[in-house]
Amino acid sequence: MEWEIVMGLEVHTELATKTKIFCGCSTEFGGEPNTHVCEICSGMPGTLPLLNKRVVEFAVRTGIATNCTITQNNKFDRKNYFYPICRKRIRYRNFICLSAATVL
Amino acid sequence: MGKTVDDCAALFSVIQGKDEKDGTSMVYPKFDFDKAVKGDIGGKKIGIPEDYLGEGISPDVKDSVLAAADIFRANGASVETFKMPIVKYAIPAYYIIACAEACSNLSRYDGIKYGYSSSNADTLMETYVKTRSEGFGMEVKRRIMLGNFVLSSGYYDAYYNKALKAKKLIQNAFYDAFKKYDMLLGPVAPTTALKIGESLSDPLKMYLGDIYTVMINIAGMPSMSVPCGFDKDNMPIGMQIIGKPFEEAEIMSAAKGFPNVTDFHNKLPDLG
Repeated sequence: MEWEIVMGLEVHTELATKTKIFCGCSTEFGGEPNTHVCEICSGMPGTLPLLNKRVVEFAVRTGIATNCTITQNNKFDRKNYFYPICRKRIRYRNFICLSAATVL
Repeated sequence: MGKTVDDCAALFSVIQGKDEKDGTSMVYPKFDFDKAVKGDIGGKKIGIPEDYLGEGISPDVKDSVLAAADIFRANGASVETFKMPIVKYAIPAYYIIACAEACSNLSRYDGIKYGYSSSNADTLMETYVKTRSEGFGMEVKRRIMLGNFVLSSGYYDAYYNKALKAKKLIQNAFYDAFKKYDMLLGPVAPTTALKIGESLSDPLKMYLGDIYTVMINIAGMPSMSVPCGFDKDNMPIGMQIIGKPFEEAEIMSAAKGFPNVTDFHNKLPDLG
């Protein structure tokens, strides 16, 4: 029997932004403990995320580079689960780029 | 927000507008304080959704709201009733959405970083389970369970997605109404306030008490609650004036025009 291998890749990228994705805290390495954290990224009650504009710009650039369709109407979905590293027990997910097709 | 329209307008003029730290706030023309406190009823076109006066409403509340409509008419406004049948979907849609949001938002209360934390837990899972079992009250737990149910795979489309579609239809119904009317008038609640502890054992009945206010939460319309009379037991009755998005000044002005010609806002219920 002939088999055709079809693989999907899950690629994580660290974006070269100066601040975090949902607050103004620094992303620089090597700071003193608890200096790059605020009420938003620590998930304090009553706080809401505010999206970093640069992140969207980088996502769109990546999308264009990988032949994606860039979504024009955009929304966040939440993924809820109890896991210690996920402070608010929620992860946000946003599809900015759809249908990547890059020939490797 | 305040005991008088002027107080509400003063407070609102401070809190309105864009908050740089709040991604859900909007840039919009500044709130017109002078217009809000003008007390202008004359010439306004007011619609009363018939479905706000239907099944479950106490006769005293209905009569008070209709009497208020007459006062608006006598002061130069035109008032008419119209049909808004979508009202019947407001409670189910709202409680599905609200419970879904509550179960997601409350998941951060896990006993790790802040708030109550169970002292008799030894493992991570025990900390989560005991903290939440001991820390939340019955109604909160009920809503978390409902929320998880409507968001669970297999029921997500049947409940949560359907509720979001109903929300859109409710919004559309308001936008349609505002093509004909400057503002809408209706009761705030179907009955006057319950005695302390009364009906708490019947959550569905309590949820139905919110029928006229969840509509505006779902649709995203501004609304102002104004005293408009008393029932036969001398309990206060409220009416609400619902406006177009960002037209707070318009509804406040109408709300102020109403107490200008009545004295309900200066009366207190007889607490016996």
